[in-house]
Amino acid sequence: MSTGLHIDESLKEAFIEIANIGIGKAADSLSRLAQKHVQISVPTIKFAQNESEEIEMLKNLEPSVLIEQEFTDDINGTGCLILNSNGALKLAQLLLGGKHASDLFGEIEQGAILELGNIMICGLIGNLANMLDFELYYNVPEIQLSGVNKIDSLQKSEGSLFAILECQLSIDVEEVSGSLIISMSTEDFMKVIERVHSKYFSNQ
Amino acid sequence: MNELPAADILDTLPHGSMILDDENKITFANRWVLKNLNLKEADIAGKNIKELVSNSDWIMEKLAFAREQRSSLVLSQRLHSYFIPIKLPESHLSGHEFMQQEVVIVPIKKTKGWLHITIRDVTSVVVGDSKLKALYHQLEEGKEKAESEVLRKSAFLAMMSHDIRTPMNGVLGYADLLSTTELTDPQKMYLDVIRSSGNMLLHLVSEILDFSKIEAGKLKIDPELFTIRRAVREVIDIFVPEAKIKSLSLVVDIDESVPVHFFQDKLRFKQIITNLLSNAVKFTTKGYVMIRIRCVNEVDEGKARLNVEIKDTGPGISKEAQENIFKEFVQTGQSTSKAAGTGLGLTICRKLCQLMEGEIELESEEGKGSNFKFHIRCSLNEIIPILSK
Repeated sequence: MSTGLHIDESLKEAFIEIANIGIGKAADSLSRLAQKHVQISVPTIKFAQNESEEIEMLKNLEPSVLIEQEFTDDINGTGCLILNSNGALKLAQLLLGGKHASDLFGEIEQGAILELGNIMICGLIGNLANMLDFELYYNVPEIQLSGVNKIDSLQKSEGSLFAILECQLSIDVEEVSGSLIISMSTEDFMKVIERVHSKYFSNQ
Repeated sequence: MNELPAADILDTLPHGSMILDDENKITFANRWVLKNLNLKEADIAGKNIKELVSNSDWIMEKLAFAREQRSSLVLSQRLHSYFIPIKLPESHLSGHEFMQQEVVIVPIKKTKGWLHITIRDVTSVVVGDSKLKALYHQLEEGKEKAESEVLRKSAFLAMMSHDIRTPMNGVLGYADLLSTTELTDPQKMYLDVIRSSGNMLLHLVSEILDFSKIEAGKLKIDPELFTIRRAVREVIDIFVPEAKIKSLSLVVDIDESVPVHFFQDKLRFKQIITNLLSNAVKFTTKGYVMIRIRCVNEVDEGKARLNVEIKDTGPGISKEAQENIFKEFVQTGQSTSKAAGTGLGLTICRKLCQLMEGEIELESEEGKGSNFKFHIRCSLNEIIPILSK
């Protein structure tokens, strides 16, 4: 299924640039919130269709925590942050500081991770919407401790395309890997690509 | 649906619910908010949320972001503690001064920047969570402490057992030498008591040593190629005199399927049989004690499995006693004088079986005898070359 999806390299770079600005803003927001130095690496991006190897690989990231937030209106889709459980716990500990450190991932830690995912997804999708002039409405974010199920259900939606952004979150000196995923229908995805093209490449 | 009284419905919620207009003025606050803030509707209507919230600059920024991006936002308890300071009574069990909250800000569709805010009281969750974590850490600490205690105890037992065995071997050795000299009848009797008591003590110490090695994870298996029939015969010979005195039949039934050689720890294999035969002969007063051996090749796993049964016509073991029989320091209900021992023998047998890729089990009924079945395994590759010779 991964065949037949060809995205022009320059469009791909433009997409990364937009994503990078978005998650940069998210990092800034997190830094101020946690009062710690938060950095997010420039993401690498892969475009994939459902049932492709890349999606299967995400499903192997078990046990995992997934934060998802749906967006609707001009384009419809879902933004997800997927972390392995250890990574999520470590992130919660780093954000909360030593006094809350614990190896138990309770409801309160889940709340903190939900907020973190909310900030990152909004940073990414929000910036995409702002830069490409889309009007979006975002539903309430949700956390799923068995992230694989959600990937399954996203995968089952007919004609879905995925933009998978792999990035590293660094808080102080510690690093945690995570994946940000944007899932959309082929039709909506093409709207994004066309908008990138018309806004940034139409004069070339 | 549109005609349903939304405010009445929101009033029934067990959470706080507020609606802000595009200038952050409160246009609605449900009963939960009014009750917790001890305000009347007239006191709060039209008030700017900035006057109520903690950390107002940060909150205002969040509200602006939600409005601008039309994005739902979560404010977690962990990162914000609370949204609106609601004082808790001093006697509150949590020890928190203010109610701990989790907040969701949702832009209302088809409005120009109106927001719905839900506030959830999570104080009890925070308290439960911290108590749970404290308990978890206590348990972890307790577990670590107990484990280190077990290791220390095992090391001590192993050392003590070794230190007792050395002089005891000296006592027994010199008793043997003494028996070769000319002695009067009473002296011979005294010497027999010294030797049998010494041997009993040596056996008890050996069991304690084995058990402490098991607990410390230091009991190792040393496989070698050995002749099964010879090993069994060597053990049987030990019990022939006692069986003869008690008029018991000692039956050995080794099936043709049993190969000549087996590749396992010969001494430990003999130790299991010795222990089981010793119990069987000790407790059986009439009838027989039988050892039956079969061998099965588990070709798919590449293993040979040696099945051994030690069956007797003794008093049998009650169902209740069977449940604990392989646990350490457990002896069956027979009289103390007959069952002298550490109660570790069967525990050691089970561990030895497991170390030799097998298991041990018991079939018994009170008054109808016991049948201890165990098996051990070895790699077929180790014995096939011998079989083909």
